[in-house]
Amino acid sequence: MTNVDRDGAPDRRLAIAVFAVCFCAAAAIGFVTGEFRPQSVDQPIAFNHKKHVVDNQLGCSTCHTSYESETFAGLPDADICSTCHSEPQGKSAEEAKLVRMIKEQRPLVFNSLFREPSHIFYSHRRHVVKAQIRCERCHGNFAMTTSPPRSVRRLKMADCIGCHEEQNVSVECTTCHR
Amino acid sequence: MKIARREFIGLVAGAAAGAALGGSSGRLFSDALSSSNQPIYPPRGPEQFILSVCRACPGGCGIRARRIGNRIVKVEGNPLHPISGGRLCTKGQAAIQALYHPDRLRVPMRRVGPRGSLTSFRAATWNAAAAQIASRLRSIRDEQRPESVVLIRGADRDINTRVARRFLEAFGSPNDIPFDRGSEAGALALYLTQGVRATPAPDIRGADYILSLGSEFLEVSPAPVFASRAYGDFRQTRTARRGKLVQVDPRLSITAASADEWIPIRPLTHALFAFGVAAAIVEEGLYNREFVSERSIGFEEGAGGGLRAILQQHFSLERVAAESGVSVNIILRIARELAGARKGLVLPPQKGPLLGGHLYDHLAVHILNALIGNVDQSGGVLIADDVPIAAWPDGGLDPVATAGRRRPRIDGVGPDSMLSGDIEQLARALTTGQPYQAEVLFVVDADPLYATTMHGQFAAALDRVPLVVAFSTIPNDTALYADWILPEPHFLESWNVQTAPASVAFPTVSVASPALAKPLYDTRAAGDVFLDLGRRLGLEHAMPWQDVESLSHAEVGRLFEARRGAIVGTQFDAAWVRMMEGAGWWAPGYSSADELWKRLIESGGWWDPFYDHGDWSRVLRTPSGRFDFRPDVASKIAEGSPIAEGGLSLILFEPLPIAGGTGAELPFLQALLDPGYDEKWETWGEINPETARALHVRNGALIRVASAHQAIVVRARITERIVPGAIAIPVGLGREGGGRWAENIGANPLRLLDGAREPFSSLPDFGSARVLVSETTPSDQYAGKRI
Amino acid sequence: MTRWAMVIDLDRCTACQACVVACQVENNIPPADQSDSARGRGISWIRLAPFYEGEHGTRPELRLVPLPCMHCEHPPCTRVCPVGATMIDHEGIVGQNYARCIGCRYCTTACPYTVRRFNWKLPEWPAPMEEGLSPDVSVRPRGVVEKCTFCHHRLQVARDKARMEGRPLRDGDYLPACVESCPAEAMFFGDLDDRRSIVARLAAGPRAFRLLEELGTKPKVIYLSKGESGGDV
Repeated sequence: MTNVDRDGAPDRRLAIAVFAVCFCAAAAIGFVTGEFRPQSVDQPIAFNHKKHVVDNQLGCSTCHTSYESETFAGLPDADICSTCHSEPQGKSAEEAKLVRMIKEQRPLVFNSLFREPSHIFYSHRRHVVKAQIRCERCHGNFAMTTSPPRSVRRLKMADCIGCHEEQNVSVECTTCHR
Repeated sequence: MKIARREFIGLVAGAAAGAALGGSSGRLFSDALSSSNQPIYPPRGPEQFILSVCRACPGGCGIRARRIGNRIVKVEGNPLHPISGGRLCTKGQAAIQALYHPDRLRVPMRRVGPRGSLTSFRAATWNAAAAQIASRLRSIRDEQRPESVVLIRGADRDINTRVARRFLEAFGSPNDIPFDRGSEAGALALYLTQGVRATPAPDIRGADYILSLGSEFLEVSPAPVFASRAYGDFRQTRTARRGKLVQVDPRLSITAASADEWIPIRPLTHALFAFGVAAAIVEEGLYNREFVSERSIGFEEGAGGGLRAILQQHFSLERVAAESGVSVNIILRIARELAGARKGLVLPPQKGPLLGGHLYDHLAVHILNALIGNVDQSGGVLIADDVPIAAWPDGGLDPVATAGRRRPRIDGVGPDSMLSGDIEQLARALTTGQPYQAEVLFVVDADPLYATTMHGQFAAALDRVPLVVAFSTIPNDTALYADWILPEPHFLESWNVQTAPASVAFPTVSVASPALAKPLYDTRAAGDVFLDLGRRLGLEHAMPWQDVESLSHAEVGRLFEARRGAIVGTQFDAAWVRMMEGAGWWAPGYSSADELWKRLIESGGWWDPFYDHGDWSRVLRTPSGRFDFRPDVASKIAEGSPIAEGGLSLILFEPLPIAGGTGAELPFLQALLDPGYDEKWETWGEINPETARALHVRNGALIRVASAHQAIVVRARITERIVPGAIAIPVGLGREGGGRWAENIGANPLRLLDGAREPFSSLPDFGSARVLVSETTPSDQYAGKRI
Repeated sequence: MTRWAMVIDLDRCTACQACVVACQVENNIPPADQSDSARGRGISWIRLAPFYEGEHGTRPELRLVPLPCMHCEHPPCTRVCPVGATMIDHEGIVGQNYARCIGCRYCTTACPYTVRRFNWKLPEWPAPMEEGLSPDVSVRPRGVVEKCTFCHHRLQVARDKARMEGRPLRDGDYLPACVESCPAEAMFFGDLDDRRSIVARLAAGPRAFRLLEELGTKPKVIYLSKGESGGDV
């Protein structure tokens, strides 16, 4: 035990020195490689939000079924799409593609554009149902898009904190970090 | 308890030292920033809770699986279930690691190379497996030799085992060989004294003084969670006085650590000590006169002049003190405390599911319990009522089956035998082909090769059987020696109807629906395999069910017919049911079998909490209708058996995480073998400092432990937790199978045994082996090597 | 105010270690392999610490004490963190912000109870073991310190549920995984500031004590010693 202690002291000084160097290096790497730039996402179908939400007056929860009851919002799968699109409703090429996928029972997996870091605890239910926050507040004017954006505005911790402070909600680390 | 700062730091820092200091910090920091440190996003999905029953051990805890999407992420106790009460032990908690174990069998495997290694197996289809096994079975029946099919199976608590037994019966074989070693001695003691074939159910919760003669009931009770909950209440309940626990054993076990007092005793003297205490109680007139005079025989009459005379003549306190190493004063004090307690209870040396005790110990303990009037009393020794599911209707045996069923059992066990199953004798029979040759061996819910006291002979015997079929999730030791390994679903993927172990005093039936909607692999429940074989062999008349699910449904229908008991519920519900049944009413809250089924799926189980204490016609079924003190056996114990000289006494025990020879396959469990030691992932041998000095064995050294015919290598742990002249080694590691985290980790001390038996009962003798211990040279490191 | 606290009754505890595994499964703690264990690098947020009592040569006594984070009211660990990655919240839970932690391990050194653990390697789950991971808890990367959070994520869920049902949080709504699993029913959890809660009543009893009280850390894990209850419930 005592031996280890004595050996430990220089190690710790070394650790601090190394840490300082690495910290600066990391910051540099982060900015240079674009670690903080939004990533681009491909979707299996070029979904037209405007067509569904504005033209056909569908509510968000028609496809994103879970945001009122769960922590996550949920992305539609083939089952949900097939409630309307087992036969073509219009003439678009994308829809034809979708109908074909449903007919062939191929899996339909949309990719999430908004992804909270794994160390964040976020509940859609709490924000949407309890706090009555509208989807646009974080997701922007998504309903008006006609084809899937390849990237979106990246939400930052400051966005969360700003809103929390405004609404007089706790900004302690453990409220969101886990 | 007071823990000083200095002491605290000293004790806990050892474990933390590795984590806090040392290592190359620089590399770690750069790694922390590199792309290999990508966060993991476990997928989300709707949350559901599904009720099931744990099969990590035969305890039968009702559980609740938390499902996120189609993944099980946690298993908890079902709060309404009377066995688990919403709690769960290490093994149950680790069930997820078994469900998602990387070495689970995914398809049936057929052996193409030498036995004993998974590399000898090739993937096959279910159809190929069933066709080959069925064709073999068909030709056996054509030759009119159905007795040559043998089944080794675990305790009869779950539905798959019942189907396997039914298949064997319809096929015409008498060779249904149960492997339930842990409860044989206790059941035998009960049978000899009370004439009932059942496992005693000690009422720990109701007692206020427990004298445990080496019972590890806090670790390896047949239903560990039930026993722990009862113990908690025994210690601190809201109404009663705090119970006192005294542990008498050569080893300071985890149970002994919880005791108020640990009394070290020489190995193999538990029966002697129990009779010493009994003699003192009789001498001082502290025994229960009413029970002894009204309800017993053999106290003042019978062989050797009756128990009283035998105790007086042969168990003087001086003799007991001299042989057991416990002073006269302590024996006398214990006798007075026990007899003076309002509800004293004595527990027999139960060391684990694989380690059957000695009949002598269990009998002496049960006689002591009877002396203080503990039979069928609250806080005493109870006997569980039968689960009221009517037997399956007689399937009707054809002439071939009828003739086959009349043949003697291949392991020599008959209706008059002491044992219920004898796998050592089976090994001999398989080797010699006497009384007849075995053609097919099924192994369900058991790992006899790991657990046998004759490993070499058993492995060789398996080679003599033309077709060995083993069922496994992760292939166990026996499976590696089979011809076919058939992959079973994990219990979180299966249907089941399971009854609680007999050590729980009230009948319980738990129903499990698959927590995982779709099984991970191409697995089949053993029950479904036997139902399929039945169809292929034209035995549907005896087993008409489509599958285990529909059979489960039918079982619940039969339970409904019993018209008693209730759906499991809160404590208040239980009190209500008890009161109603006591007054002769039955108000179940369900009116049809279908409604009962639905409510069982929602609540997890059924039980009958009513216990009728002192129903003598049920619990005393000896010819005399009285408790028999068996002076004939007591006088045999008085003669004593010579204790071998030389070497150290070998003491075996089973830590809860690896008890029953299962658990070592999971890293969570490997890392917590005994909280008192640092040893993880390896087998250790506990030696008293005094003995270690004499043998020149150093703490932490590798030692060679050799019996007359084999040797293993373990790590020496020099400790005061064991008496001098003995070495204590845990059972559960040293597996051949069990996947990447169990194979060849540690050593199996059962290999040191040579099939010795206790003379009177013919139970395997786990206690009287002597071993030589020496520090080993590095070349001798291969555990389990033949010498 | 709310002050979350745990009571561990050493008279009921059987040292079965169910709490250890319950915690590991609940909190996505990676399984330690043989070499990790041998080097003391296995991670557990709660463990059984052995204390041998009695002089050499006499009959020893072994006490096994479940040791989670004490969630001190004056935690020494939070003061030494150079980056503010560990903090005590207004309900007394000492949290760890893994995104901020730089792995300097000042806190593991400062903690007198040695309950903080450093992640020596990237967690490994051979497929399909990652299927069993809980989405409620993050998977910690290599190079950070982790610790017991009193299963803080369960508080979030319990509070959400209570809000949805339009009622205040009740005693027993929020239990850490270890408390929930304890077979001997030796662990209790609740609000120490609520005089009617089970923990407040037990903590006021004659058997209650805290580890290393003389340091002034004011632990919120309260132990009950062995012995007669003296009417503590």
